[in-house]
Amino acid sequence: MRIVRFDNWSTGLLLGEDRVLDVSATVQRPEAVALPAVQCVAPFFTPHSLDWAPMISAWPLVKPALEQLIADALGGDPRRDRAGHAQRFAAPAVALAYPPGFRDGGKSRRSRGARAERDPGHFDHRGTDPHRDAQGTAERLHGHTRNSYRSERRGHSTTRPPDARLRSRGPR
Amino acid sequence: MLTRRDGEVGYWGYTAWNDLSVRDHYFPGGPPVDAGPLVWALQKNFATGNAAGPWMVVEDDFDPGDLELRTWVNGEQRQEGSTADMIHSFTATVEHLSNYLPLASGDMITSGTPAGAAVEDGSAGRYLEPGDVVEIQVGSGGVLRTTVGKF
Repeated sequence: MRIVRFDNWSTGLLLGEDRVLDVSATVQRPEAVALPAVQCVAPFFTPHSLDWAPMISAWPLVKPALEQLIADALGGDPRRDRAGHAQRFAAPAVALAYPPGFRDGGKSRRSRGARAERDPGHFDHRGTDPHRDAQGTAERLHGHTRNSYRSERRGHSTTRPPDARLRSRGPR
Repeated sequence: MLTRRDGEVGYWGYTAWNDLSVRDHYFPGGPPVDAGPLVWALQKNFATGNAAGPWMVVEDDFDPGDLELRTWVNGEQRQEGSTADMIHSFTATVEHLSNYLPLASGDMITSGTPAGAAVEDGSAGRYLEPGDVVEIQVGSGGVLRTTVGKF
């Protein structure tokens, strides 16, 4: 089962690759509130229930109901799919941004390096050696960046993400 | 993501997590994050510095110690690993953390990263720049796609 947050904290169930059943909206639909599966999950998906923790704690109860909603939606029978109408879904591309003062246009890495070359002692905010080189940086950071996995770096490839091969096996 | 029922902590689901870092201050002339004890905390905690998703994979029998992890930057693969290679497994981490704080349903534990981060090459590393697209996939989850921008 694949569960997603989308559209301002709604909770959805993925149907296949590009459709989602909006559970948060489903539990509010008048034609669905009488369904046993909807009644089961409704307490966990009120408009104010942003926290998944209650749902997770009650998972043995909630899971069969969510599976029923998925089955009804996938069944394609509009007489049974009273719970909700699936809608198109595309995983959002998340935009990340550096905080102010970083990566600004006037301080590219090259320009900063050039300034450091002219005045190697001009910036030493941590009180450490301002002449540290690439190797020194790598050694200093080695313990932090390599301490969670035993694996060594493997060869790079130019392949795109293998969506098809690693794609989910679908609702379970 | 964890679940806790009847006092027992278990694994409810998993997803990809993109944990960005500010490394500019490692370079000559780079702006400081903090000159004091917050240098590590602030370079890992800034607005939009973390992303998770694109969805949670919830399976009854998944093994958190056997999940493939891959990272691409602009389509080029930079990382390939498995949670089987973690020095401290998720189970060991849960056991350790449980000594200090109560773990509850909905708590998330992140694993760190396998080899291939730019910082491993020091100032010669291929760091992210505005416009770069980072894609991460864990197990059978979807591709978490993030675009690096500027404030």
